[in-house]
Amino acid sequence: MSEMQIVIPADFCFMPGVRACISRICAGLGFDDHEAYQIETVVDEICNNAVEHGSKTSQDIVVIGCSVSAGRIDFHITDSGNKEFRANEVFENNKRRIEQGWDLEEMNQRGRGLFIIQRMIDGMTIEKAGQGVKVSLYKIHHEEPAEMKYVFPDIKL
Amino acid sequence: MEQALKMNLKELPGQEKIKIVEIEGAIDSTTVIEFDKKMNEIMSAIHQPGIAMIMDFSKLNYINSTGLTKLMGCYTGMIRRSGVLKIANSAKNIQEILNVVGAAKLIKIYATMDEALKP
Repeated sequence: MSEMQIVIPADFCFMPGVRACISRICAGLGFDDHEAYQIETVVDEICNNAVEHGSKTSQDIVVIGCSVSAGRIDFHITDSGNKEFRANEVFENNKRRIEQGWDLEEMNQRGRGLFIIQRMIDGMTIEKAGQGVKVSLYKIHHEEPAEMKYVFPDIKL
Repeated sequence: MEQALKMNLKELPGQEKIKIVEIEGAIDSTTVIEFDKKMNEIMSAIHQPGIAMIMDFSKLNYINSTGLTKLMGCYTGMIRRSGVLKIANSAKNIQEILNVVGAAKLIKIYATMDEALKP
């Protein structure tokens, strides 16, 4: 198993770089473009939640842990906490809207990211981690794993 | 690294009821304010019913849920102006996102600009 960790300040401006990094890692592991895009998207959504709902200032950090084993990639994304985000409540409200249709007045409601996450990965758990929240997710590569092309150093921005 | 957002309003000669917005780059948390501002500028200049706004996604390489919320706001804005929002040339990955959040049920989506231009 290979592991890496990316630590970013809780600021949206780092997200394009994180996405590019995740995308290249996935491509290097043999995930096809579509799978890599899905993983990149999900990590982006969770990190955005961590910045918006799990951080008070850009002095807080978001830790993105990644581990790779045969045919599977896992991410553990932890925020600094101190804010409350009722993910289940948001998910259930928007599930109704997506299934039954959105009222025009509700169109600006947030929370669509949870559906993107649910659809694009194979598993996710959310748990408390100190003051913050840790989101763990994994995606399985459904073909034979490719030979590792990347070495994963610890990256601290 | 993905490109930041670029937007361009294009109007076709003799087709004053069609507005094409070419969108290049990403609509994400770093660009969504710019996207929203530009779209509000474009939509606030619409004063007559029956306008078709076509977003050309051929150079859009990423949109996240924050961007989708603003996109749905554009949909609402066009409905309120008695117009229509269409999307043309979206990549497969973008199309998937639109499907997942239910946007594809509301916004008219076309594989090509030629199809989107048809009344």
